[in-house]
Amino acid sequence: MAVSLSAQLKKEVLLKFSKQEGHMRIVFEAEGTLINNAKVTISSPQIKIEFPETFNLTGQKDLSFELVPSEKLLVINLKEKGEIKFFRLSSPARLVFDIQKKEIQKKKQTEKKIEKQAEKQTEKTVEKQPVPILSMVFVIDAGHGGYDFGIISGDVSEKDISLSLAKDLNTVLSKKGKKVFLTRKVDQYISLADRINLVNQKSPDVFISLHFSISENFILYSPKFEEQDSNEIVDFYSLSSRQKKYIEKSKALSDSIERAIKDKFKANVIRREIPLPILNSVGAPSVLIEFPSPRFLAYDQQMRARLINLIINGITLYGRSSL
Amino acid sequence: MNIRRLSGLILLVLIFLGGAAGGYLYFMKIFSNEKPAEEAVETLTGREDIFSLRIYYPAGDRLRIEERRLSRRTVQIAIAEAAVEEYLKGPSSVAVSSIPRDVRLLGLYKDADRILYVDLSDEFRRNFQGDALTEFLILRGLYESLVSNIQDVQDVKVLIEGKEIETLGGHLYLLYPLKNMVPHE
Repeated sequence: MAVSLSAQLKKEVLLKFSKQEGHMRIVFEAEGTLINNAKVTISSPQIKIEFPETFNLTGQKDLSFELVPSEKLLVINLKEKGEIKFFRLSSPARLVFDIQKKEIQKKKQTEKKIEKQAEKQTEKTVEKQPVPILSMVFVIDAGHGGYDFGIISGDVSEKDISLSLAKDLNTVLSKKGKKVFLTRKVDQYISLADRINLVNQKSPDVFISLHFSISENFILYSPKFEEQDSNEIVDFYSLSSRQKKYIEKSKALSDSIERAIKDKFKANVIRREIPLPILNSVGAPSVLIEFPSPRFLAYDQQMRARLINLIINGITLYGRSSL
Repeated sequence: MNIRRLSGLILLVLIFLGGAAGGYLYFMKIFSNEKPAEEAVETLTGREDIFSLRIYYPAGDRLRIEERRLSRRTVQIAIAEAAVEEYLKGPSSVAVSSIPRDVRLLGLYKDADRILYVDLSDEFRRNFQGDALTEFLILRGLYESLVSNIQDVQDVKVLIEGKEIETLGGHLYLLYPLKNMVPHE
């Protein structure tokens, strides 16, 4: 009887716990007085909570840490050291502990550092541009995506790098006050027709499609029309008429990007004219750039910043020439 | 007297048997000589029944023609089949072919508009690795290999596992017949 009475006097503390890829959250929910007056001491990998009253712990089982309750004290022994963040929250009153594994923490810090460095580097090089970019609206197309990997070299795939370059280009141009639309922002399959529709909806001043070559060269594709374009099949599918008005501007855009590549990389640039739907069917000055295969060029953060820089240079030159 | 008659009869029998044996050996020799002559005729006929196909393979940044000699087919669709199969085998002159590996020809037929439908296995799409020019040359090579060997074909359309798909490698349409999708460079 005495035992049951003592159990009744004990305050209920409800334990909740969740874990996901190196992050763990432990929550103790109880009435306000118990939570607000609890003393918490953190010394990773151990957390001590001293409640003002005796308590009865209920809630989840199968925990990935050890719990040692005794009278008013609750000791939590974590299996590994990590960064522990503690919050005392209300409605409902609760103590929240967010634990992050050290490796994940380090990885995040490194990633942030790399991102900041790349941003600084891109900004630095872009600041050097003496002439502002005159075009206002851009559509950037990251080639491939989803189940369409594009060219694969080791663990590098065309779809990932083209997306990364498109996002970087978006960041730089947006910071300059330009309106930028991406045909895809994540790793997903987008049909050629949908990409073309997006470009034609936005009517950009410049459209750039980003791809890889299988060679060590930079390759620039310009739109091309055949004499027989007037035949019934092409007319029936309405495939290629939109670009006709912009073909000279598209060539000027390719010329400017070619100059920028030669300035920055001293590399061989191959110009090709193939009736690619992504160029022929869009109503905008357009170019498809194929960067050297990842077999010949390491696409690290520094290289990506250089490539973004050369595109910005090319766009700037194009802006000047189209004045 | 009886002995004389008997020995004369025996002599006649012996002469007859000798003649029969000689005749047998003579004809055997003739027939055994005729056999190789028959084989020679067959070989001669086979040589006359060989015909050649001109197959256009991607090689670097252009198409290269290779001639393939095969036993004669008279039906146009059988020639088309042979052309596709030879094309899918890849070139003999190039060490690494850009034509996707392990592709099978699933079907081939011509419609009323004289468009030749080439139904290929999914490996054609799945095993494609290349840039825009690679894709262009693979499709152009297939188109040329068919229209240059087969009469009365207006255009070529590729199906994958019996279905229309939008693109082979993300650069060119496969939804439409090839002639205008991959024109001469």
